Amino acid sequence: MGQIDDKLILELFRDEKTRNTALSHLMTKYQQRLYWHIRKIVISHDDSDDVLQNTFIKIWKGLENFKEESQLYTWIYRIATNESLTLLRQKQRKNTTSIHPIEYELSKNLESDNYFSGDEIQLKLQQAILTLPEKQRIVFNMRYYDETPYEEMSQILETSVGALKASYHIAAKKIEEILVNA
Amino acid sequence: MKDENENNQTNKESGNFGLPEGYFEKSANSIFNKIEWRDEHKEFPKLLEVKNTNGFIVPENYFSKNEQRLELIQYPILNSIQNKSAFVVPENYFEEAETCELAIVLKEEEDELTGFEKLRSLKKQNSFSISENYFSEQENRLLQILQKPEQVKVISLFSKRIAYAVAALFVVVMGVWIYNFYFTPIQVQDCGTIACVDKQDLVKTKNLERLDDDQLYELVDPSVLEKKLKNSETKKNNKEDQDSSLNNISTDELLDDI
Repeated sequence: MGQIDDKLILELFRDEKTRNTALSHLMTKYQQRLYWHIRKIVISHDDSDDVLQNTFIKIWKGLENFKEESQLYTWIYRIATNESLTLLRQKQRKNTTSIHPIEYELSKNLESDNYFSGDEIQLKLQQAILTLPEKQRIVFNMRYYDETPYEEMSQILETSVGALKASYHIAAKKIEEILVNA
Repeated sequence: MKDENENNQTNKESGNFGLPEGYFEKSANSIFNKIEWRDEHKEFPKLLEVKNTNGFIVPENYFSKNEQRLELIQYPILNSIQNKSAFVVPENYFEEAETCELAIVLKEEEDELTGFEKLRSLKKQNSFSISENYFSEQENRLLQILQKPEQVKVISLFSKRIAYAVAALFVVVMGVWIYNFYFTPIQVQDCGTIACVDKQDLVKTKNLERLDDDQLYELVDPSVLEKKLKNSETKKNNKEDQDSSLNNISTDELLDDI
């Protein structure tokens, strides 16, 4: 199925007869992108699976009230980002046995994760990324891996372009230091 | 003129280009004016040779700045301040700012990772993996969940939380009841006076001897006493006889009625 325009998806959604078709198109178009975006935040595949599901459920329920004040994809990405951060905070709250932040636990688990196929340096890179504050981490992943334009990122994260550029620069600097010293 | 207007209207209606109002008239006047001027200067060819330009020049943006100045004329105090800033900055502040790291970053840079050689040298790859057919299975699973009609949430009465709450409530109620039963003193309906205390004492000790008749009267409900008197074998009217008939009523009978 080829890439379908967001406006067409919304039109299909508004008609009850074609609502399921709209859902199918939505999933085909955004599922993978959203998954990888979520995965880079929550790291674990199982958690990513849960978050992806919750994201689509929220999208589906909220689509009726979507006012088109922003683009559909920025709205969807925003939901995915918020759901990912919510999961991490829930995990942090439940993590009563450890004094370390949840990112430390994720970093440790990465070493034995069956769903991580990177070499040593890639592992160090991911662990370095996990040392960043959550928003900086998201900015870094979106820019470094996805090469998302700053204007697009600004709409998704509701932050100015200048702030995002500064955030990315600081993140890159921190990671560089960690990799050099590793 | 009429034809021109009609022409304009027709053009607009048919979607063709319209013309500004009075276009042809103005155009005609302008042409006549130019012809007239040339005729006037035919006798002065040198003048015709010189280009009709104004030799004077004005500074750049003169008219726009002038406009701003004229805007402030109505605000004399503001006009007198003339954009003088009271803020000062350290020496070489702007020169240093332009060369500082962050300023460079904020400009459009082709390669943002300039200066981060280690990061730049890494191969950009996705090290996270997933199971085969994950996305197709996920799609089917999600479609099933989202297309299923929403079930009404049934809240069970026998959930753990509710059971704990009921147990806690039971303990509190039992505690209050036990406290009231064992620790609260016996209350008599009309109690609240020393006579009440006496009554309790009497019930416990059955000691009527220390009380005189008047005290006894106070302790016993008169209606009950009257009943007792009526039930006794002999019925007397005067007080003396009533007093003596009190002797016919046993202590236990009196105590029962206190």
